[in-house]
Amino acid sequence: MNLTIWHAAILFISGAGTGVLGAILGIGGGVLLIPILVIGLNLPMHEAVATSIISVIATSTAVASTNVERGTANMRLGMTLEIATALGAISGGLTARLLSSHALEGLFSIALAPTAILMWRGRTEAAPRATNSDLAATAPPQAERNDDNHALGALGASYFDPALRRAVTYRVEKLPLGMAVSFVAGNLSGLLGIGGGVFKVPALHLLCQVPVKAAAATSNFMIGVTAVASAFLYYGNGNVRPALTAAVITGVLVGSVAGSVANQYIGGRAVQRLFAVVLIVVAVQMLYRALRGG
Amino acid sequence: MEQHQHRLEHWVHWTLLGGLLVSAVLLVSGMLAMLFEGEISASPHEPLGTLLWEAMHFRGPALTVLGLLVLMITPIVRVVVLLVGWALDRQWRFMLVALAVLALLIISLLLGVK
Repeated sequence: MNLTIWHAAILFISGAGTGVLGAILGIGGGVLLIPILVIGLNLPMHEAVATSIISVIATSTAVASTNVERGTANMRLGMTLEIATALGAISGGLTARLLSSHALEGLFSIALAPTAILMWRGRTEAAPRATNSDLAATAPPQAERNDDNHALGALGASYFDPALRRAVTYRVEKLPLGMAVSFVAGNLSGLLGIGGGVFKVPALHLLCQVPVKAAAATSNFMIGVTAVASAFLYYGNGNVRPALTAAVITGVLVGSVAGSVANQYIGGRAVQRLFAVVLIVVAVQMLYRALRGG
Repeated sequence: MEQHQHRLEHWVHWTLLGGLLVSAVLLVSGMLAMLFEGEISASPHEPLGTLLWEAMHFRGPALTVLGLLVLMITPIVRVVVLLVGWALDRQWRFMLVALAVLALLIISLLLGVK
């Protein structure tokens, strides 16, 4: 199907809006982009999911390149959890092939409810479990780097937090729980085209004791690989429409840059709560559409 | 070890940024070319050789599809970079983890092609 210049413009603006909100709220934007494509532009659900997955790769790649250089993304933890997210994404992508568009829309509306609740509550940051000085205190006085590494474990890491003006060092606890949540998040990504960061970040923070900044950066770092794991399945199934996807992605990238600038001036909390309400409205609309069958 | 870690972070940073920039240039060029050609449409299933040949002749659809493919391949290249980096640092455990992730991505690619 050919797109008109107006279609391309609307897709670009939709992508830009998603990019702005994504940057302000710290999410990939799939939860917003998919309803716009399905309800607003009447795109079949599978094509909307495919478009969302590929645009999520773009935002994740852009943000991850910065987070990796800053040292906030924990690459060893991220790669370990990617085994679970990739497995989840592949099984989600294969399951999506078996489901009808309306079944996917129904599942999407159900997934939006907990997303909205978590968004409304916001990120509750517990105090970092351990800092450099805490860990040094637990180590023998002559502790050298090897002992520090032992205290951190294989997956622990350290990064400099400009807000706290000091290095934050942490151990990763309960990895199997983190792997289980990552599998579910990967599954949601492959099945419904949402990054799952809204589930992964609290899980990494509250269950695995990773500080919120590192949890968010690591979650984002993982999304690119997770999305690619199911993107090939959608691509092979003929659900990717290149021109449409390109228009959305260019919009998302421009919107992300604008959102990052706007983020400094806008109170994220109010936007977060407004967005949670919007998500509930969208969930009801998607559920109605799924039950009505068109 | 910390120096190796920073070097690896630098490699990954440039891999992701490079992939994103190449992809963005191809996507924007493709969209502009399609606007000039007056037909905004592209088939995702052209052979790679045809895509490259058409892209060299500034055909919008080919540039767009190549842009998407570069974007999709970028995270895979990032996994390969980490695999090589950890192998050079003799971090065998994480090298194996990266190898497992790469294997899963290749399985997904094969399932998609099939």
